[in-house]
Amino acid sequence: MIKIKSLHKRYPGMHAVKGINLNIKSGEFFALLGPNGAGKTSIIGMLTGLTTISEGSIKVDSHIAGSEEAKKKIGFVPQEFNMDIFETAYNVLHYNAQYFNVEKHVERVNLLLTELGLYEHRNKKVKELSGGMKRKLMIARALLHDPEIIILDEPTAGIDVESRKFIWKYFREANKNGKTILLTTHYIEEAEQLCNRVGILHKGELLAIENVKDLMLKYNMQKVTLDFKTKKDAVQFAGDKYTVNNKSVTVPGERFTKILDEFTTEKIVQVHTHDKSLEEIFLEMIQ
Amino acid sequence: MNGYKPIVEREVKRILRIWKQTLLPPLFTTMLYTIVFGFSLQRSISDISGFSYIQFTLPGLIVMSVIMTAFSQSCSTIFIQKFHGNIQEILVSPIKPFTFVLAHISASIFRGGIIAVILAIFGFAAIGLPLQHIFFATMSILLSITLFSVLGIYTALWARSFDHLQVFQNFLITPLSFLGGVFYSVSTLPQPYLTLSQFNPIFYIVDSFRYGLLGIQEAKPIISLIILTTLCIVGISHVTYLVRIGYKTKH
Repeated sequence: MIKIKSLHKRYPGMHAVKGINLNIKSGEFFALLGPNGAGKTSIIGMLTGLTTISEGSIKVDSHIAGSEEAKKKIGFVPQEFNMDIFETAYNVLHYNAQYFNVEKHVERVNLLLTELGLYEHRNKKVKELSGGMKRKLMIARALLHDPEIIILDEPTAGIDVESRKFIWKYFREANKNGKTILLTTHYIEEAEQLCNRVGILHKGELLAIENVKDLMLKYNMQKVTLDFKTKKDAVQFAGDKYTVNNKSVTVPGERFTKILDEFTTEKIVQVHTHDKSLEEIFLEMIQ
Repeated sequence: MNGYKPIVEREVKRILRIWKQTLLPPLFTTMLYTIVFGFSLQRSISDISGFSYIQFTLPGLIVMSVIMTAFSQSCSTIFIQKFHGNIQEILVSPIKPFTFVLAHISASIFRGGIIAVILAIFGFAAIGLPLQHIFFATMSILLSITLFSVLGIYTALWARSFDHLQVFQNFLITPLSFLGGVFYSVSTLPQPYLTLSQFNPIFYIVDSFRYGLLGIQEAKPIISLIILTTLCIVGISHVTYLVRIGYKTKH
């Protein structure tokens, strides 16, 4: 569905994207993870036609990214609010639906306003809407032409928990209904909850592209937390190698058996295992 | 022409919603000019080609007002869209660059047209302004709005701050207007200013519009329209190209 080949983006004095290759299949929920400046927004910009490509290519089905045909297939929710703040919520959708030549656009606008809980606020100016409502309005705007691909650039940044959960549920449902979704996010939990595959991006390079579950297995992500009787015991055990958290010390799963051989278990009250989060994997990889 | 109607609809509603900012100032300013330059000065200035000074001046004042309006219409709305970021709505949509340009020219025609009609009616009623050649009067106004609307689009694309918007207005449009024969007959100028005036597009706009109303001219009216049409075609083509490549709108 989306084919990115040897993609480069150069700004004056900066090489933001360095030869990315990436294929996203139809129906996938794919996340691009990376810290600020990793190149996520540049890639999305080139995909949507907002940014020029320095080298390489992006194809949306068989269409070159930025072409009219490619644009018709994409619905884009940007990171920054980018609406006419003096227009009403209804008018923002009313005009944008016509930019995409949406048939029966009045019905479509009203349907999306209702689905996203904005119908009662349709006559309010954008500047009068809360952050969560503005974000939902941008989502409605991106969905007006019923695109096959939805691109979400930090869709839940700066909004309340309730709105975030609503948006997660909404896109999980959209993905079940066949939409291909490309997400960039700082909330790694978001990628873990929603996505099939993730791409780890750092300083313009793609460090890994993995299925979320495979990534966790591949990096042997199980951890063991040992609860000690006293903090002194925990500190003695941890030495310089591990960090003590109150009376507990967490160690990598693969070290656990060796640790038990080296250290008396009498001072340990409880042992519990848990998986490393995607966030921890991500931090390890970019370090 | 996908996208033409919503852009024009949005702009027309905006023009009418904030009419105190979009329509009233140019009308007020031109009427003020008419009083100051016309009624007060005409006693000390003799008739020009059989018309009173106020009758001679008003077509130029209407043109000045209309081109300023056309320029600020396209310039301000596109720059504000860049400023708020909602120009991205256009950039990610399948709207053709030519449609975008044409829609903004149409909105300028709407706003400039209202100014031109009201001021012309004021001229007919208040100072007995004649209407000799409606075709030339209409065409010169339409072409001048188109040309300066295109210039407004250029400026909006190029500008990075509100200060930049003033550059074209203060250092190009205003001087060219004053040197384009609004307040005097260009033929009275000494050389080399007479020759230089032939390179000023505002001279052709003022002259052909004055011919449309008063029936007097300094250049051949049809040549003026051909020059203006050529400038419009070149301007539209180039600005459409700039929109297509994302000049200062795409990173």
